[in-house]
Amino acid sequence: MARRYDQRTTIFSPEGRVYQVEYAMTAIRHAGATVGILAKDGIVLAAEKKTTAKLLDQSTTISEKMFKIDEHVVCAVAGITSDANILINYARLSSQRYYYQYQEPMPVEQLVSQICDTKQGYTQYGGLRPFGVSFLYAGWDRHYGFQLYQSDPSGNFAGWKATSIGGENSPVAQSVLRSNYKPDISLKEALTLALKVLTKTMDRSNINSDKLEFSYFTRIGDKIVYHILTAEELDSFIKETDLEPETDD
Amino acid sequence: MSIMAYNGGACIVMTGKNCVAIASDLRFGIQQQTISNDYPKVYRVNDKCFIGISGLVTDAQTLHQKIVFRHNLYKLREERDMSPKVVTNLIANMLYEKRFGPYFTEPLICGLEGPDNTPYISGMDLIGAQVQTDDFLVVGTMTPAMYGVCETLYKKDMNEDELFETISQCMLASLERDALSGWGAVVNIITPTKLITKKLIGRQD
Amino acid sequence: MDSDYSFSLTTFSPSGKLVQIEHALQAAASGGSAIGIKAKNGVVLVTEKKLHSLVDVSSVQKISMITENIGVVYAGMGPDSRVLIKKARKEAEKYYKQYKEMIPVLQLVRELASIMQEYTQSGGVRPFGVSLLVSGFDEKGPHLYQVDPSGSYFAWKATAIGKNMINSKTFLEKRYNDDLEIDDAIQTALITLKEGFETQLTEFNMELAVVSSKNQKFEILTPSQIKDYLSNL
Repeated sequence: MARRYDQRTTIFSPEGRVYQVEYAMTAIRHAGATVGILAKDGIVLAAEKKTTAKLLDQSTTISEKMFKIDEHVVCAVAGITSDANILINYARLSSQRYYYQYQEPMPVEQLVSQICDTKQGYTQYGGLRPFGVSFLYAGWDRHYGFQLYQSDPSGNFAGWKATSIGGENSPVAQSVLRSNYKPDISLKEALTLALKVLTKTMDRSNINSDKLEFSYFTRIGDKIVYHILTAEELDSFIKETDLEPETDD
Repeated sequence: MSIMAYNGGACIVMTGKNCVAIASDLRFGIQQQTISNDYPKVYRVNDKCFIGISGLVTDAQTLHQKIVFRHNLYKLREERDMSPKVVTNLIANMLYEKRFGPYFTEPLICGLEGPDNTPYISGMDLIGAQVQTDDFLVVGTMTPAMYGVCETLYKKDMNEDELFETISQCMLASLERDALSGWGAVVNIITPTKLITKKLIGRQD
Repeated sequence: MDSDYSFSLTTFSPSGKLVQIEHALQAAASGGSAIGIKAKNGVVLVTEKKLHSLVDVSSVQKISMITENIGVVYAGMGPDSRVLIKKARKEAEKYYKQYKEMIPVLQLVRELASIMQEYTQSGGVRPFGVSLLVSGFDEKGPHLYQVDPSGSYFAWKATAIGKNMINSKTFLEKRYNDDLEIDDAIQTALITLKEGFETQLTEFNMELAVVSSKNQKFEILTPSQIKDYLSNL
């Protein structure tokens, strides 16, 4: 057989690769792009919705790709949604367990690290396939303030100022972010930048509330506020935002 | 002496018209020695549900933390608050799980149930045997005195001011007959639109 | 040996696909058609039930009740669906035992979805070869969900699973409107089923179930009740 090192999930190939993890990352590229931007006064998460059908009931599902993990952490997903649900349940449980034990909110990095340890486990032992999902985590804690993290199926994670997961055009997204990100960017500017990134990676005709999902995470006084833009809010935001004219290339 | 009376303390819940009240004393002691005179035994679960836990304070604290844990997960999953009825069943199950090594606590639950905000009160023993009434429930170290005043002063369909007055009188009158509870009290009135919390001054000896 | 069965059978292909899930979806998509429509005041489920002429039709059930106010219909492998239905009923009872409140439809759907996900990752098992339509009534009104072998779920206004799903969905897109009442929804569902039906639709080669705001109970109709609806068609 031509394929020898890619069926068993936890075996190195002779050239030192774990194929199942690489294939799982390929799965994520097929998903819609998700962008995260860390601003000085908050974090923006924006995503492209791929599953759209006329008869889908939008009234009961508020969000398809963004989930609250705790009062102080939210995440956005790219990849296999059903795999993501399992990890989100686990993350919620972890965060509550921490609170129960220490009576204070779980530091964001510790939460991310714990979920990633679970992901890593699936690449090394047990013989199960890895989770086909990448996450962006947005959170706030008293140690490091606002934080944005990215994780992938291997269990790798890192803190980012602005990044994207999923999507076929991820290099484009990364380069738009790199050239437009300013260290003192405000939440408002970050929302505009996120929209700019998605207009560059998606088909222009899809820039509307049917195909997009926007949310922001900020603090008003001592209270953490997480808001997913409603369809009306999103459409009027897109209309207000002065997008550069489309350039032919 | 019973372990249930080790720290002292008392709690009452009472229904009114479109409102419920929950009150507890403020004493925290170790047997006859008073440690604090500012220790309420009432915990907020959400805007429409409060619980009061009498008994051994360490167990009460742990039980409360476990309820917060379960309530937070429920909120994330179901995107709604637990109703008082659900809270009651949850706590009863949690207590019965520890049937043979129980938390030495007697919880009272009160709140407004459902979309039409029906007043709801319930209580249970330390292993989760539930009781639901439509007037009042008492727990703590001076229940005989509390029953007496509650039965005398309670009227049906009190408004929030009358309810506050009644539950306050019940609390103060009965606590003066008990050495293990007292030292002031705290009263919470829950209505569909607001929450009123007031402290009552009591004898400090 | 035990350890031979401890690895995932569902693994990623080089293109990033979980091939076993796609095959399972195929199994579901070649099952008997089932259609669900959510109206303003209820939900209707219909499904074809094509059996050998010598089978006692009353002994085969394609629509099942999970709780008093939730029911499911499946497309795909019958035996797999029975396992899922049993698990769903158990989850519903577990929820009731814990909270003394009926499980909301979405929560049951999530439990089902997570069970189905488990069978795409656990050692030595294949995914379930069924898609489910879950309908029910709760505090928040009527609901219609689809759950797939991958463990993903969707909320629908109207949809179809099984053999004829693509045509039926196109048909439903044309027929559906947001003001549909339950009786109209039943009619629409029957017409949609009839469209893809090769033979005559009778009260014995299909099943129909309704849950409506009237009593919020999930009711599987008897052949004589179905007959009334068919004669009005």
